[in-house]
Amino acid sequence: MEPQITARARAPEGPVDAAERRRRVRRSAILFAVIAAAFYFGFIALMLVRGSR
Amino acid sequence: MAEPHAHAAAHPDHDHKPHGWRRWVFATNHKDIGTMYLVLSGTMFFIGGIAAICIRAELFQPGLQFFDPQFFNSLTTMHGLIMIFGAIMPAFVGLANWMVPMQVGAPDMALPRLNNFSFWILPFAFTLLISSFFVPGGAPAGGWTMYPPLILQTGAAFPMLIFSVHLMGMSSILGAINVVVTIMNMRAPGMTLLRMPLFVWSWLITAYLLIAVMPVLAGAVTMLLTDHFFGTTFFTAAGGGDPVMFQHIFWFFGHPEVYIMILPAFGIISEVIPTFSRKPLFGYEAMVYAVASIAFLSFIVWAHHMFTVGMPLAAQLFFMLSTMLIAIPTGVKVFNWTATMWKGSLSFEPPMLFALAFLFLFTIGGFSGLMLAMVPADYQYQDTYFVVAHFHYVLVTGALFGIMSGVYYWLPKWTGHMYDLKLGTWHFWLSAIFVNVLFFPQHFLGLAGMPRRIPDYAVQFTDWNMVSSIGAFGFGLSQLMFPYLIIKCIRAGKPAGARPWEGAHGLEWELPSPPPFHSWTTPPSDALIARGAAH
Repeated sequence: MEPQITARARAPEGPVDAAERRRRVRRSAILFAVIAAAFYFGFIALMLVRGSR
Repeated sequence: MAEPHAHAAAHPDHDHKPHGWRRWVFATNHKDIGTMYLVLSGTMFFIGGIAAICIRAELFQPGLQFFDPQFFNSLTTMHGLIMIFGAIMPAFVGLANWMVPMQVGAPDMALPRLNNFSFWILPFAFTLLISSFFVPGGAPAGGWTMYPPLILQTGAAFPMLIFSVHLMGMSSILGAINVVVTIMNMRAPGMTLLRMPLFVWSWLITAYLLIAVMPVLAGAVTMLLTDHFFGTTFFTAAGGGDPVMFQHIFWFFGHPEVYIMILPAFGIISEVIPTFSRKPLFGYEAMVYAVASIAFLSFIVWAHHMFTVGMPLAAQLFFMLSTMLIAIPTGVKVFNWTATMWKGSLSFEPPMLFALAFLFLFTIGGFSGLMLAMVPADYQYQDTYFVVAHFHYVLVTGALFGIMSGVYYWLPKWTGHMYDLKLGTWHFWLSAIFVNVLFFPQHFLGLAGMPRRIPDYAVQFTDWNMVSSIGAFGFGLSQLMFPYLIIKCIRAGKPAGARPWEGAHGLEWELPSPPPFHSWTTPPSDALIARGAAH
């Protein structure tokens, strides 16, 4: 059996419960916002580390 | 057709949409927000276009005609910033807002209020940026790439530039998060990833690129800001900083940015060519993998923009070869579009004409890109008009023609009216002719050694500059037909059916034209999805 997350990403086969969909939307939006923030602060941190050498 | 749509179509007055200014200011409907993005993009296109016309007027002949060199540099800088962040990117976001929910069978974007916020940031950002023309020292003049130390010499406009770039970046990131979340979570049951239209695929991949690279640009300009105002020396050599490092960081953002501006156009062309060839897209899965490969490669080629600043031979070889690798997935795409037309029943309405022009002219931009990828040759071409010709073939006849093709393709769906096909065809031919008169001679000027970003030039460059400027005036004037055609279509176009193009496939064509304010409130059936996914 496929792992649940893969199955979800590939084929939404039936109607998804609205509350569950809201949770998924919120979770994935937060995840991508965190990734974006990591790129922002990560590059500044890299420059700080490089500058301190 | 699902019941709610039939109801809404039969009673448009019962469409339950807000009216007056509140409809737009507090908009959460993806179609309204898409329209606002497109209107903003069109406005910025004409403002950036006026800057371009001024540039070409100045360059019509050698010597200084109209502007002092500082103002000329402000014009080139603002033209680049406005066209990239104000015209091309918002146009694609507008198209995504309009089409992605309808194409995946979703009632709206996943985060409608965030969608409203993403849009309304932009008018403030561009008002701030454009108003920098009127502050002491004038608008930024260090080029759209904002290289230090030159950009740090900007006057009162500097914080305005940095803040507006931050706002644009924020808008793009929030918009991209919305697109990814919508596609991953809001698809109708049965709309599997490999049933999605290519436009949705290309936007999904573009959105990932945006999330990864826009924060890098934001980080770079934040460091510029602290260098300017808070005494840091990230990019100031006098304090131990490294100006070349800014170029590396900038182009780590900047090269994927080029693909952010072209991948959605690939998606549009992949919708338009099958429709007007009346054939399914050749090699659907290969197209998806090609887009994904191009996106991946875009992260490892950035230094080809800066070969001449000096770097180890191994790095030059790596970036040269990785850049050339991009030709492979791009070749796959061009081959597949051509193969889609092979033995098709072709017709040449404006969307198809723009798509065909895209195919030929973007490929010219691709070829000159290959020339620029070669390190020894690049040392000759760097900072000449050859580079200007190259990226305008990519961004005007590539991205802009892709947008034109998309607007002409979906306009009857959006408005419910068919536009004047004859006028659209005239718009195409004038655009296609003048754009080549405008940009093709710039190859010759660059190869002959004319540098870019200069208001004056040696007399031997005069003739081709005159030709190029005439092309610019013609191209600029012919674009006035576009808003006229759209307004005419909205006001007096003949009613368009649900499927105005007989070869069109996809869920958006299962909705009436114009689609109801709230579409796919009941998810489309599997049969409808299967019929739409005719690849």
